[in-house]
Amino acid sequence: MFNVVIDHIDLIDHIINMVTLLGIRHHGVGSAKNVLARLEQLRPDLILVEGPPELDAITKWIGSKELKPPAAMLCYDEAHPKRSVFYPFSEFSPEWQAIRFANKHKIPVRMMDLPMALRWEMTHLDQAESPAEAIDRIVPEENVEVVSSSEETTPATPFPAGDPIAHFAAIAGYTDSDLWWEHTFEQVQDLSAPADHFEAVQLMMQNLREAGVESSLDKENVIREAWMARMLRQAQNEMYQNIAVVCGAWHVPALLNLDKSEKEHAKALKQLPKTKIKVGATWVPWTNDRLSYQSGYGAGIHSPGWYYHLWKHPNDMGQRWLTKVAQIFRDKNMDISTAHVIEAFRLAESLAGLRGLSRPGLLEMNEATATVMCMGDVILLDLVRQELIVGNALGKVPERLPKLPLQADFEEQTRKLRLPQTALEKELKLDLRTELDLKRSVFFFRLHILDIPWAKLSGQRGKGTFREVWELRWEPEMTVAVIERGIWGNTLEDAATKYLLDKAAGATSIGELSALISVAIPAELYEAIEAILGRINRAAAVSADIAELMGALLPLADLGRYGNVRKSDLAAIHRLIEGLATRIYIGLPNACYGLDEESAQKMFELIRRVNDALRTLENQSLIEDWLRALEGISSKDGIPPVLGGCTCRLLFDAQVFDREETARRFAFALSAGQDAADAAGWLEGFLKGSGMILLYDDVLWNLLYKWVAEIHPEAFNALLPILRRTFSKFSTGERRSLGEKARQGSVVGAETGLNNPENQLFDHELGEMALELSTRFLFD
Amino acid sequence: MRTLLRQHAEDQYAHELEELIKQDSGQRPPNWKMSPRSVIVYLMGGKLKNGFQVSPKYIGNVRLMEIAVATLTTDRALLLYGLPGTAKSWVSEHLAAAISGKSTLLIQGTAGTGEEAIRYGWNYARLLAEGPSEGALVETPMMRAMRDGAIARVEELTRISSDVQDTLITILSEKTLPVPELNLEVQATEGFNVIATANNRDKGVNELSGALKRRFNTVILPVPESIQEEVEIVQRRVDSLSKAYKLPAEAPALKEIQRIVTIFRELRAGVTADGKTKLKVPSGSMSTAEAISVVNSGLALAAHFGDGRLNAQDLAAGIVGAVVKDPVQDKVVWNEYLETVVKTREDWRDVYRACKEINV
Repeated sequence: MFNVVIDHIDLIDHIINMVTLLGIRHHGVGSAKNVLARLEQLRPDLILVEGPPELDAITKWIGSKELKPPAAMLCYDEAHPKRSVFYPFSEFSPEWQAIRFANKHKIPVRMMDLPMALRWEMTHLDQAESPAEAIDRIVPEENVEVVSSSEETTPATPFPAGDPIAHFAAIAGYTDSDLWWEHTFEQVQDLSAPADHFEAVQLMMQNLREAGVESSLDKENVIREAWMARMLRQAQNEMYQNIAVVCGAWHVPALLNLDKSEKEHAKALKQLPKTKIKVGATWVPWTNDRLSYQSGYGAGIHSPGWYYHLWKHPNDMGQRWLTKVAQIFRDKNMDISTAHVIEAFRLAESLAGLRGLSRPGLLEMNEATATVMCMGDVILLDLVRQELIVGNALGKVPERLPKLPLQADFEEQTRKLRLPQTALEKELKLDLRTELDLKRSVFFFRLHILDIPWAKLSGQRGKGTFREVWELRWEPEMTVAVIERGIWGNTLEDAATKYLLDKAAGATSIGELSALISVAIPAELYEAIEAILGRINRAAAVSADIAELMGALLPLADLGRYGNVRKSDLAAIHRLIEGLATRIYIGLPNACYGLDEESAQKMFELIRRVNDALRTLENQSLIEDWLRALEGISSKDGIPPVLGGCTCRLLFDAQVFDREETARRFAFALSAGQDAADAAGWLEGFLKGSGMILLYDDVLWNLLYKWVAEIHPEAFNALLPILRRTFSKFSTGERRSLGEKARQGSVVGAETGLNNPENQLFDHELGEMALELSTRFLFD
Repeated sequence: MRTLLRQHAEDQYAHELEELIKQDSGQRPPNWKMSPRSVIVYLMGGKLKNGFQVSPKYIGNVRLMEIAVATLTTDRALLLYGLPGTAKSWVSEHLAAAISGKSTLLIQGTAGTGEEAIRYGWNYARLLAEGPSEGALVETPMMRAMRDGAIARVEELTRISSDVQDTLITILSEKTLPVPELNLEVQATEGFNVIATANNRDKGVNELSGALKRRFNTVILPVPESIQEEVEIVQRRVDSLSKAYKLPAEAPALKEIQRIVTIFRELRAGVTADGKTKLKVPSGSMSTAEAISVVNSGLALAAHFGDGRLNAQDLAAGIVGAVVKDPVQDKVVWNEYLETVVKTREDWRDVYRACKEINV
């Protein structure tokens, strides 16, 4: 047998029963190339691949036209679909290439890892979180690092604790073990001796393991490796004679010396529990940026686009790559010339030379790009990161596949909630007091969060109302949307939570965050609510925009008062409300200065709404502080008159100002020395919403009466629009009563004496005119 | 004998340069005193084969220095860009010292820098007496660098007005400096290159023209990444400076330096070191260079007016001065920081009291 070196199996055994172990790095381009080259040499009669056997049913799709990478195999617990693991592949994944090779040449292929059902059962027994469980919580990581495919053999190993490769990297003078592996094993040009490559990998791992170096997941690995060895033995017993094994490099030594380790393995496998967990498996379309998640293989990469480029153009030294970079920059309207590309390439080459590399890697490319094309500004690299370094590829999966868990959950809910999917537009009125309608509303809100626009809310969901009107229209593309969201979670609740958290991670302003929380609340996503509350709290600490803080307070107050929330959250919400409120009290007086007409109106509206919101909370100390803040505003000079009137009215309603005080302020605001427009503005602020006060309070009535009477006709005409804006909002009944009261003139007996005929100042003619006019605008 | 207040890099570290050149086995670009690898070792520090210890000049990311050195091996000029106080000039001086053996071919950019400071000037007495002649020509550092194949340095490039900046274009692309009056030109010898520095905060003052930008590779020098890194920089610089300035005070306590660096970092990043509390950020740049000068002035205070030991009182004035650049906004930021962060730290009582006394 040519060029096969397996030192542990004796020669005779070897000839009749050849096993070749191909240790790889998941998603390693060099590994994939070597695997292909080696398989081509070997032409094995069986290929074993690392991965749970539940996936065996769906490996047949690899290589078919209907399945396009990047795609992931999904394993899920059929009873609890929330429990799931993804095994993502790109075209350059060694496992993908190995299985593709097998399918193409009709070679049987088997997954050889511990069954997922057993792993879940074990973690269940341990009462601990397994890495598989941890995947449930994957939150998209940012591609902070420019390169770095994450670690290679064992799941989630931080450097250096539990990262065995670090020992070799350190000897070679590297501080980054990934980079060392990359340079040593993945950036290969020469594929003439793949056997040597795998022997080197094997030797290295053997050395590490014999030296007792530990990987972070050794405990689990013992059983997994025992199982893999068992599968290998079984295949040998089935008389396969030329077996190729594709597995993470770290596992290779465990699959050597099968005779010696048999007893030990049998012992380890005895501990395995029995399980009734049923595991489903299917393909899901994947995207390049999700290849960076550490999932089933525990290995993610941050630059799939770069690896794809290496896979497609193995001979490119960087010219082609940098030309692509330049094209993208040009598309984004940056002036990049061919000279830039040339200079960047020269720099990348010099850098590689300085670092003793045979060819520039992604790091050198990125550094050269930033230095030559972006004025050293790495932020501009973000422009190429998504399109080129990560890549926008979206996989496709066969339509004939079994349904995804999220899809199944979605369909079950539509059945339960009796919501047929019809293309016809339909209006649905919900009464949230009934359980079914409430559940429907939650369901719609969750879909809304997931950007599946089946139902649109058309009726206002106001505070304290229990009615919602939804418009339903089902489009076939929504099925695809449901499938696509499958990567976020296996139930609607789960997926919506993660999707929302992802959005929240990108949100920067309090406004955005409070918009998110106001959909999270009706969607009853408690986990997301909690996380977003935390973010709002942090954002509030640095925000100087009081209006934004006030905007954020409103939905929270609603939630604190009416929300259907768990008790622990309720306490957190109240703490947050108090924090926000305190910041608002301190900042509000300053925020009321120097506002133009439009901003003043906005602030006016906000103050009224915050006032309402705080009153519903029934927290006495909050209200007292609030009123104190309002009092501070109302007596300041330089704030817009509409806010002065508004605060005065709110304080009067709260009985902080008694009648005399209110009357004094009313008189002051309407006194002759004031600019007429300011007075009208003040009046608007004071009266907006309700004119009843004028009907019952004769003192105020007389003050207003006097003001209208004394005002110059031309000025009055100018003020009409403002006054009309104020008075036209009153109810018809109110306006009628006010008109009748106006006809009778000012009220005698209210301690003014204004209507005293002896008062020489009173111009009756003018009064009549004013009366006529005010009657007109009240009824027009 | 007169002693210099401050020595050039190539004099202060002459023994290190000498040793590096002796031990150098790498390939040297033409007219370089040492190989690019050795330049990196000179900048970042390290142990040579014979056990000689080279002190680090730049503490930070080695990759940035590699980019800078790799740039100079190509014929593109290097632009060091960054906030004030991120060691741009320091790096430029040491690069020139290591590559050309001299850091003195320096053009200081100011708003008043004219073309004759970059290209050439005339000795007017001789110009009048002899008419245009080579003898009447006054060479600039740039011209000399071109003749000698050395590194020329331009400090604060963006302070120079745009039309004067553009005189660099021919020099950088054609590598030649024509003197039309004498009908001759100075062509650059191999090894010639330019290191310019520019300031982030001056952005837009005299923005580089597109043509000039294209002739520079830009390396942005960041603020220090970790607190250890920054403490080390401050300690190292203060040690060497107080030697130079002869401050008799006791060597600064590491504790004080750590506290200062912590204050600077927290305010710069807008978050406390434990990541728990968000902070407002003052308008100043809060650079490492400022931290160094705070420690230095503290040392001077301690030496001349205090008990010779650096303590919180000596530092407080400097810190407050560094933070409060804008009397209204920064004051709020500082007071908030003092009350919510400094006050709550048990072992920072003295800092709190000292800063309170100054009371901006």
